[in-house]
Amino acid sequence: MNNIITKERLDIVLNGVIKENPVLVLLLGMCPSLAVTTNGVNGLGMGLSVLFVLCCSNVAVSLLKNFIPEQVRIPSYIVIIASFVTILGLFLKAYLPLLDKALGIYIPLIVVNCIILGRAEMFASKRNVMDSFMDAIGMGFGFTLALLIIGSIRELLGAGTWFGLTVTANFMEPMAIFMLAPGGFFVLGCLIAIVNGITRYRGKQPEKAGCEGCSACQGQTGEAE
Amino acid sequence: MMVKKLMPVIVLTVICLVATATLVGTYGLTKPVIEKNNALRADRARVEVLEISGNQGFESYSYDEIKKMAKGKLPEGTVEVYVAKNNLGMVITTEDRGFGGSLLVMTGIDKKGRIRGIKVVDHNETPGLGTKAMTKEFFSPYLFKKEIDNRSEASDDVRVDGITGATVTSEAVYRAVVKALTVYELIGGIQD
Amino acid sequence: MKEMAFILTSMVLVDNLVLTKFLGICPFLGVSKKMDSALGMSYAVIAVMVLATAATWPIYNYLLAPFGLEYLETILFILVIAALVQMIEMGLKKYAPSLHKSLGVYLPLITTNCAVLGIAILNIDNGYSFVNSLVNAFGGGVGFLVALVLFSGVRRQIERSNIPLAFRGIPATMIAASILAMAFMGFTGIVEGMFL
Repeated sequence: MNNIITKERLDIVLNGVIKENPVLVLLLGMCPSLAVTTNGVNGLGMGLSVLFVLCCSNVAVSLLKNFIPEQVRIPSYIVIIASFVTILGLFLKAYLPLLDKALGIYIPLIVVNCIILGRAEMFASKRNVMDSFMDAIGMGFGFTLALLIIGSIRELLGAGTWFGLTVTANFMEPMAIFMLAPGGFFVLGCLIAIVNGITRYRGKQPEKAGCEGCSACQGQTGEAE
Repeated sequence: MMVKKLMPVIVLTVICLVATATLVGTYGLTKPVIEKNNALRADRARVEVLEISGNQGFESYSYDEIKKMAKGKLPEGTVEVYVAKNNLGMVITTEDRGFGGSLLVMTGIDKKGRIRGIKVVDHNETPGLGTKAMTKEFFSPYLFKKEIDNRSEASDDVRVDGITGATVTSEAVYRAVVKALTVYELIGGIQD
Repeated sequence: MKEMAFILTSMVLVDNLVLTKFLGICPFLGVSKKMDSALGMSYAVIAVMVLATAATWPIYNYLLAPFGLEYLETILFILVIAALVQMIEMGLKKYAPSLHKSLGVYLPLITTNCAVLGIAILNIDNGYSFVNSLVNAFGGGVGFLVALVLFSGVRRQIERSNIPLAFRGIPATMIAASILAMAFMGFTGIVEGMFL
């Protein structure tokens, strides 16, 4: 067992959770992060869904990396990812219909979640299966953690509950705005500011990532500076 | 030589075929479960909105049948009509547009034309805000009325209220219930 | 006709893809610093959205739904969009090189833009007719443009102001976006009153 779970692999996992947290550091996968985090349960549900797709796609891409020619790399990854997303969607509809309703259109949109395509392109296509799996776990957990935090904050401030259990609703007036669009932007902005603040405090420069750093999209943002 | 050039396309096609096969398989597995769940949920909702003793289940009218009975004046947004066996009443599903998109509402109407129950079965409204217009408290003024009006000048026996801060949602739910009552009228209610 | 005007207006103001549905955020955050990039990106997005709708709507309604294959929607739509973008890029390069130089750079990014796939799926979810879907897509794109252009102006102001270090860059952008989203929330209810 020891030569499968090496220290290096554990580092890969931790990297995804903290140092290169996809949402708070790499600034990827923003669309779902803002849309479904109206409460803790939805945030957790989306996070775990992405974790599932990420693990499956990273493993699949890593297994097939020597068979996929360069020119059809991206379309192949897209087909693989889209298949897993569809499978996930069908299983949710069948066994967790309430979550399926809550996440709605954002389930099929997992396909275009930069995180999954980005990790397939930058990691899984170059590393072995076990490493890729660990990376998926790390990034997936990091994503889930970020979504859980955002969802919890928005639920607490917006409805006074956490996972449906009343917490502050009785002594503090909930501010519904946090469960709507503006609240999402605001909470995410503040969280990233906190992460930036901590990074600067430790003497490092915050990354200027986001879609500009996503090589799968060929880093095109048209910023001809 | 030709094969080498076509290799990328071949690989991509193979991947697509394998993917499609997997999806068809998964769909085959999950489809019966999904359909069973949907049917169960709809049945349970219908029983909930027409809670009358002696209820032995429902039968549905097809959309064409309803259209004919309403002589072409069916309001837009009528989704389905189920009649309770024993002629105890009807459950009419109507739709209207709320804050986050369309709302699906089931209204249970007894054979005297009175509202017995209302349930919002599908919506995209704001949890905690718009959902306040979907609770038992919100619906209690609606119960047992044959006619409803949400304007402030309406007389007390038909008056129902909206919710401040969730006006769009409560208006949409109100309109959907009004539609259900209209459909009930148009198709001639319950003939004994 | 009234319905089309309603869809168009609501897509720009009330159901703005960026500010209410959070679609298309990635380019929204990255591109909106300069007005030129913002406009260029938006034009490209509008074109791709409308063309993608023209391609995906018939596929769903004539190929998938009649055979009970709705679950293949996701995978087919994204492949169609990817192929479409490729073809547009090649077409532009060959027949309109000047246009390719100004707009072409944004095209690869648009493939993974949530907004394009999102609008294709929304058309189906809302059960729009073909024409209404095209109007929906056009409106969505225009809404994207409005949000981007408004934002590029806001961002320029932010660059000139003195903000605490931790908030520089994305956080300040996010908070400005939240205020913009709040402003757009005010449009709800107006649209219903205008056309219905």
